[in-house]
Amino acid sequence: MQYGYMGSYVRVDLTEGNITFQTFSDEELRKYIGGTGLGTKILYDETDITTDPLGPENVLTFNTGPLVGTKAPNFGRYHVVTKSPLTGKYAEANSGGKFGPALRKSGYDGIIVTGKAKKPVYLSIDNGKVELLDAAELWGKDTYEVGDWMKETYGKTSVCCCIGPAGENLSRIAAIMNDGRDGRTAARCGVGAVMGSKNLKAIVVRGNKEVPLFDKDRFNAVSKEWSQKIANGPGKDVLGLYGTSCGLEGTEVMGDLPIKNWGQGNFEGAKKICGPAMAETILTKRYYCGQCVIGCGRVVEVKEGKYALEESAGPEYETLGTLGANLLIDDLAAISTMNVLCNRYGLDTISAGCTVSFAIEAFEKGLLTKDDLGGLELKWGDPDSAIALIGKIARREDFGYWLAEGSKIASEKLGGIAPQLAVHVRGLEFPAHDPRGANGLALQYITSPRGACHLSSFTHDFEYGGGGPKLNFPDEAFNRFGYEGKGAFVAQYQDLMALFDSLTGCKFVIFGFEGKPLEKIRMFLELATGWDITEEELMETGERIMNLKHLYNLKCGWTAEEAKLPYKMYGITRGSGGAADNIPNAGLMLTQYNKVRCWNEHGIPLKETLDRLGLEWTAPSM
Amino acid sequence: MDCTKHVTLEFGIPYRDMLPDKVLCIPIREDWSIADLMGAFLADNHAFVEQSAERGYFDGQKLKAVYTLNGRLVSVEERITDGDSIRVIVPIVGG
Repeated sequence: MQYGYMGSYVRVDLTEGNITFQTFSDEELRKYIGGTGLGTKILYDETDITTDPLGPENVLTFNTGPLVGTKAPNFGRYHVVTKSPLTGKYAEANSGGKFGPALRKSGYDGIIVTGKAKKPVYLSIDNGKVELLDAAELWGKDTYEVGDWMKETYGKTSVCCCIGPAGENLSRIAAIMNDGRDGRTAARCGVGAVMGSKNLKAIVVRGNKEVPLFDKDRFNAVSKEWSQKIANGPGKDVLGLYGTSCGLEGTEVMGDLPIKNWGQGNFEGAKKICGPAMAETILTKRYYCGQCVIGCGRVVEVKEGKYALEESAGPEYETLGTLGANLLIDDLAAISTMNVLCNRYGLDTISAGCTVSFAIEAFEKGLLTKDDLGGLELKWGDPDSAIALIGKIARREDFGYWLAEGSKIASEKLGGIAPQLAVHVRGLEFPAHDPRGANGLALQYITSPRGACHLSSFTHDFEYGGGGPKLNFPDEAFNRFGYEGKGAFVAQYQDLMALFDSLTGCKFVIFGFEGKPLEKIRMFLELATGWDITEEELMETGERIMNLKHLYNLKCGWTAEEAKLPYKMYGITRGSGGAADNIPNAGLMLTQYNKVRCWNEHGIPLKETLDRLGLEWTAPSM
Repeated sequence: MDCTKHVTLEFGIPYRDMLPDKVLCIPIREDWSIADLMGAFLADNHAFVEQSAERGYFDGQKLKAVYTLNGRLVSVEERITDGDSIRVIVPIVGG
């Protein structure tokens, strides 16, 4: 018995239509745990530089962790790991909602998909029974329609993830959506296109199997205790009441919020689109993901006007930043409409927002014209043209065909100075946090395995004063404009977050763990699995997983040349706002980082690093 | 307090939810900084201090906050004068 685990992954070969089951040894589980840890191990073993991300040879994995489907608070997410069609390298995307817990209750820890079906199919996992079924009726439907169909067909307790038209059209910024109209998203890196390339429209799961726990009574007692503490902790006053956009006014003031395609320092409209403004206008209720006790999800309704909207999933901070401030749009109803459109099409709102902002600036500079866009005129602060462009991207109409490839490829297609207007790292568009506002964020973006990612170390929250747990770096590292200790600061938080992602935990729980997340994780993990594990081993596990993600990128041809910020971040200051003149010295921090990581100056792990982390087996492929 | 000068002190979340009014008009003395203003405010509002402390919004003796003066991000040592508008924002990013 492997306590904490259902015991196997479902493996689906879509080319042959075969379904098998894969188990992992005790040693593998302890080394990689689950989530992105196990997902990366599978990806590393089965793909390489020759793998076409949109070819049948790519592997698409859905991963949970040992606390998913239990009563542990806020550990109910799932992670998709694959090779990214957007960056050509490591991809991870995670989502909340109810899909992760439902997958475990259906009887499995994860799903591995390979090959390509001859015609559209969906996968059903019903209390242990696994089937591939014809999806002809679903192909072409949007994600809300698919969610509705699944609920009607499989009942209210079923949960599905699926792609929309954007994924079917192989947009490299397509997402995988789950939980139907609740609009939860494994958004980043174009994972929806990988699912589309396999002709896999959806996965529906349901079941009532129990996760075997080593010490069930104590586990449940501890879960109850911490659920109450977290529910009444710091998150209650901000994230719970006002959602992820609780801090949007502050991010504008501090220079974190993207404004006018990352070109402006202040945005008066921030007050109109922040969490408190939403709570006072269109918010109808809060949404809780599986096992969540915070409830940062928003449900909104716009009763009248041009952007009237039935009760729907509301926009998150990232969406308000990229589809709002970054386009100079300060109309909550319009942004909510854009959010729902992206959800229905199955588009990543971050990449879509940044690609639209890139297109508006390219239009303004004459690089893109009305003729390129079927007569559409793009303007700052104009929701209607942004809405029209989102549709063109999802359907690949006009120049939307190229924008669906993401801002990097689209900018290269336009040529001239267009690449200077595209804001991404290795193809992945920036989330709604400007690294000129916090130096650690800059280092995080260039070292994150999936490209520009604010979640790989989560340091921006701590640099702005959110109060991160103390690890082994100097206190000066919290200074957002400083450099002292930044290498260790980012590397250690990356290791901690890699641990979170192997457990598929929500990172907001960190604010409720009283500054001691490792202590709490160790406690939950020990009670779930029976492992006699130390906090040091947990951090080393995180470090191993971070290194393996990086090693995968190296295996796919990554070079140190790729560890750089886009032009706007090193070439232009904004001249106003809370970080008006800061340009982070990424090179200085990268030198520190490589040293802390025990990598050489080219970002290649030293032999002793591989040996220490039990990753010596990767050496031949390097 | 013997003074004729006033500033507007506006609280963002979560602080505004702990106060009866989110915008306050506060009398100030000559040569005050934001730190002086906040010191005086906290000394007069024990219930607010207790509630903030209970919820973890104190970092040592200081309220966890960043401040804007007439819309501009400033340090807590910034001098204030009659008619200024100060906003108190909790430095939590959220997303």
